[in-house]
Amino acid sequence: MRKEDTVKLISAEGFEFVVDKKAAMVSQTIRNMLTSPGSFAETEHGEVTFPEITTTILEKICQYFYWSLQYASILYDSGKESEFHIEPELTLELMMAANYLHT
Amino acid sequence: MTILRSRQVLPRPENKPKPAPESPSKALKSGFSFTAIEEPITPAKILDPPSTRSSYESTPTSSSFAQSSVEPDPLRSGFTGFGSESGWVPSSSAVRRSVRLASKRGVHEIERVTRVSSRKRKIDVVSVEKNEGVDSGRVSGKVKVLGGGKENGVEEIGVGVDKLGSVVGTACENGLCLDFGAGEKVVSGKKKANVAFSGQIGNKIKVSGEGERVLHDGSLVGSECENGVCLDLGGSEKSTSMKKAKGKRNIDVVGVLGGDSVKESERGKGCFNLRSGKKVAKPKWEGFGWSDSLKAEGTSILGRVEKGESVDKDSIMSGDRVVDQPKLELGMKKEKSIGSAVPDDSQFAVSSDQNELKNVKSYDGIRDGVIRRLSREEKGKGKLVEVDLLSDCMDEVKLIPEPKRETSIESTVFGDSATPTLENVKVQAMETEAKTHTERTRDRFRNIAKKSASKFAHFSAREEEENHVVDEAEREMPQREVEEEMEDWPGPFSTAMKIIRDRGTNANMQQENSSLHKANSSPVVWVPRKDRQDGRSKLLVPSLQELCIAILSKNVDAITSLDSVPDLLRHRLGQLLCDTRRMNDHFFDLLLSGSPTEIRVRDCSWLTEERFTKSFEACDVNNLMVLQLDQCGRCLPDYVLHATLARSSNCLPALTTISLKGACRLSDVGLGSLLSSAPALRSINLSQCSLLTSDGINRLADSLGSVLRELYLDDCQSIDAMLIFHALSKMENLEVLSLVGLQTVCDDFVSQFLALCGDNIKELVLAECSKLTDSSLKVIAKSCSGLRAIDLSNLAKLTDLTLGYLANGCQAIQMLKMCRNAFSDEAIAAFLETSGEPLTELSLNNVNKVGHNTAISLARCSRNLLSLDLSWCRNLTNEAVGLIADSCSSLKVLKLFGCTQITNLFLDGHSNPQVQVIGLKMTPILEHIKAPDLLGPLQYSSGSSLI
Repeated sequence: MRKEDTVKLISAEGFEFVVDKKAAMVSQTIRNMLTSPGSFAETEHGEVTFPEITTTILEKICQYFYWSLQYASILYDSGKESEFHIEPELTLELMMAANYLHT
Repeated sequence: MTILRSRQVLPRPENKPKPAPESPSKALKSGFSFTAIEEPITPAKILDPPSTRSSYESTPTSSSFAQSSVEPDPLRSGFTGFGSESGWVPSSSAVRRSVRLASKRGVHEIERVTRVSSRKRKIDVVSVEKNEGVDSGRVSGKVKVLGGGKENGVEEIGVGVDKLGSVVGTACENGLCLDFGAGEKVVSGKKKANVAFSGQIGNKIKVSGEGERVLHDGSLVGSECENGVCLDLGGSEKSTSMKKAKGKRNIDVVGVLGGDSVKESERGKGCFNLRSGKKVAKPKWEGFGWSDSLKAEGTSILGRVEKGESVDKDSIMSGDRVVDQPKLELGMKKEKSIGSAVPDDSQFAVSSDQNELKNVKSYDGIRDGVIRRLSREEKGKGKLVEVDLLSDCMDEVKLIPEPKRETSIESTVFGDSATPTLENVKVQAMETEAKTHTERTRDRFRNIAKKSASKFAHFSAREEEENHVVDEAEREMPQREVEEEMEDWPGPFSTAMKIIRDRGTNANMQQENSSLHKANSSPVVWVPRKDRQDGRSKLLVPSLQELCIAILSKNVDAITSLDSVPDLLRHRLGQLLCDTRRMNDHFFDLLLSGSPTEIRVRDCSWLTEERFTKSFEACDVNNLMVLQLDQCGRCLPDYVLHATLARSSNCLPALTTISLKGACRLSDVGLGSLLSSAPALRSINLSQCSLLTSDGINRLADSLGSVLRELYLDDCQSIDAMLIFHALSKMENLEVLSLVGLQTVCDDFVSQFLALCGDNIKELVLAECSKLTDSSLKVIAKSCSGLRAIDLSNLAKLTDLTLGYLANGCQAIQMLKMCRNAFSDEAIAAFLETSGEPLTELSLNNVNKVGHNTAISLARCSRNLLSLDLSWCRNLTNEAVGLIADSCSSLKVLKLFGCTQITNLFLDGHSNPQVQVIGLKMTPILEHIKAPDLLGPLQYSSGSSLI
């Protein structure tokens, strides 16, 4: 996996999640950060820091990115809707993070 | 009347019937195609006038008409001709004049006329037929012509006129002949057999045009002719016509008509009886349509047979000198003629024509009686007739010698049956009669008519009502025409409309040219994409937010706090909870905890008074800007209001927006106290507050007056729009006014209000204000140049003019809602072409006429469209919708409820990955129900600018 194809997402606690750029772009917010014109740090280094998102939530979000990429093909191939499992205790926080990430 | 003549003529008919048979052939040679004149074509005409017919059908007489319509008779064509009035007058009148002149001068001129007509006939057989209809339409020959012409078109009209002219000419000839003598008749009959035939044709035409009556008329005319000089001709005509197919039809029609006439006939009883089976009066009625006033006249002339009958009736009615027996005989004679022509008439077909001769005398007597009666009634009816016929008729009347007029009037009077068409026929007959009788008998009749006029004075409430309706319709019509004229000024809309229409006609022509090759060819070209990958990419992945909210809504009770949750997410969560009936006290308390700025609950029906009072008392409302408590009828009576929202004046200092939809226990007093506690209100939604009256709105205007920006009064059934007019006119800065379903909203209200406050209006919701017409929209377009949104749902009276006004006057419309409107495909397309660019939301729900023109224009001009509702637009094909979806690059939501004609071809084939198709295949719809704008307290003004 080449570095250009990946993005590093950093949580509030400093945990780094290296994900496919394609997956990260599921989030409109991240997409805008990575594609906006001009030499922002995010664009140049492929790193995005989320000081307000905890590690657990960010991990869940990364899971969602990949899930959403596979959703269509799974549905198409198997005819079944795959379910994205969310622990109820995370939901409220996850919802706000998702709102921020526009996803 | 005609009967009398028939007697006179009778002797001749025997001789001349021979020429008559020839005449058809001659006519053919001359270029008139009798066949063309005949019914065969008329069916097509019948098809054409559905619109006009439908309007007629609403009238009581329509039933008869419908029956007659079943038969492929010329009658219908006549009706159709009548339906359309416009355009025909000038040419027709000219023709008439010429005809008249010709008749006066002699056969030669008449021949010219006929020639002209023949040319025209060559040009367009169909038109000729129409013309026939027109002829019938021209009530007394003349008028009828005019009526028929307009529908077909200018050319047709012209032809129609000619025919009419010819017909008239024939009639005139007959009349003249009668007057002048047999010599002319003979000449015309033989040498100028063409003419005669044309005349006959005309008669026939008249008959056909008039419908059943036409037949009668024709017979009448024929009889008249017969009676006069042209009896022979008439007979021949009859025979020819009968042969051609009218005979049976006529008979049938007569039968039908008779039934109808009997039903319809309000006045004459005995007369009706006689008429029954014979009369055709009603058809004319229908045909006239526009000239409903004719109804008032109500006198219908029977067919030939009817003539006989009418004569009887007349005799009966008048009780004058006419002997019943003679009359009967006359009737029989008429019948005879008919019978000879048509076997079906056999009922009456009795004695030979010779008998008729004998009867002639009696007929004369009858005629006199009839005429007299007519003359008496003339006065009243004459007026009516004039009114009915409008200017055209007037002209004709003027042209016609006075005696004729009288006769016509008289004839109508006789008819009593109340069919305008009959009157027309009568008029024709009368004219001829008048010619024959001349002034000699006129005075006599007049005197008699004066004596018996009172007997004919009827008052029919139903007629009155109908007339009233007609009057209204007529009143509207001219207005509309005027507007249309104004619209004809080449504004962008009318230009676009014209282009689209031309496009349509061109397409049609092309299609005809290449007719069979591409019968199914659609004007919309769209190729579905086949590749499967696209189908995959079109699947919308549920967003993480949706997933979270769904899970939260299932675990509401586990939520301990909504602190730091943005308002938008609160709203979405609350909305889902309400929609799924999971809203409860716990979540309500969560919403009220802290110092909320917005509380939005769109369904409070679960909330009790106690719970609401308790929750609200604990709430810090100092920062509350938006309060939405819809469906709060249960929890918000006045006394709870006083304990919560209105506990003290100015207790809601920041509140700018309040929505209390469905607060069915909120009174004017409660509203007043609420207003005193929330002085900063800028938007108030009081929809479905059924206790509110104009008093409450007056308070609202007094306290908020010029600062109020948004007012929703949907379905407040206790509010009379005209009573809140003054209150509303104080709200100078009103931007949003929603008056859905207020039946008291009328054109006057809209025009007066907008004239005062239209400048600032951004959104008008006038759905279901069913009284509104185009004139309201004209005012709106004129006064509200800044209009951004308008809802015209269920405004059935609106026509294409509305779209023209909006397109030319309101260039900034972003949201346009239509539902069940009668707008045409072309008009919608033209609107989109003209001012469809800014549209972001468009609803064409159940606008039946939406078709490919709209689709093409949508594809071309709606780049900004976000939401499109094409539900129940069943004329749209896969291709059309596919083109729209692919071309509207911004489109997010496409509603296609009820569009079962849309198949997977579209769903799999469109290539717009963003669009979400709703309404097909059980897609979830809950979240697409229009929710109040959640973005801010006011839709068109920022909250900060208000304070």
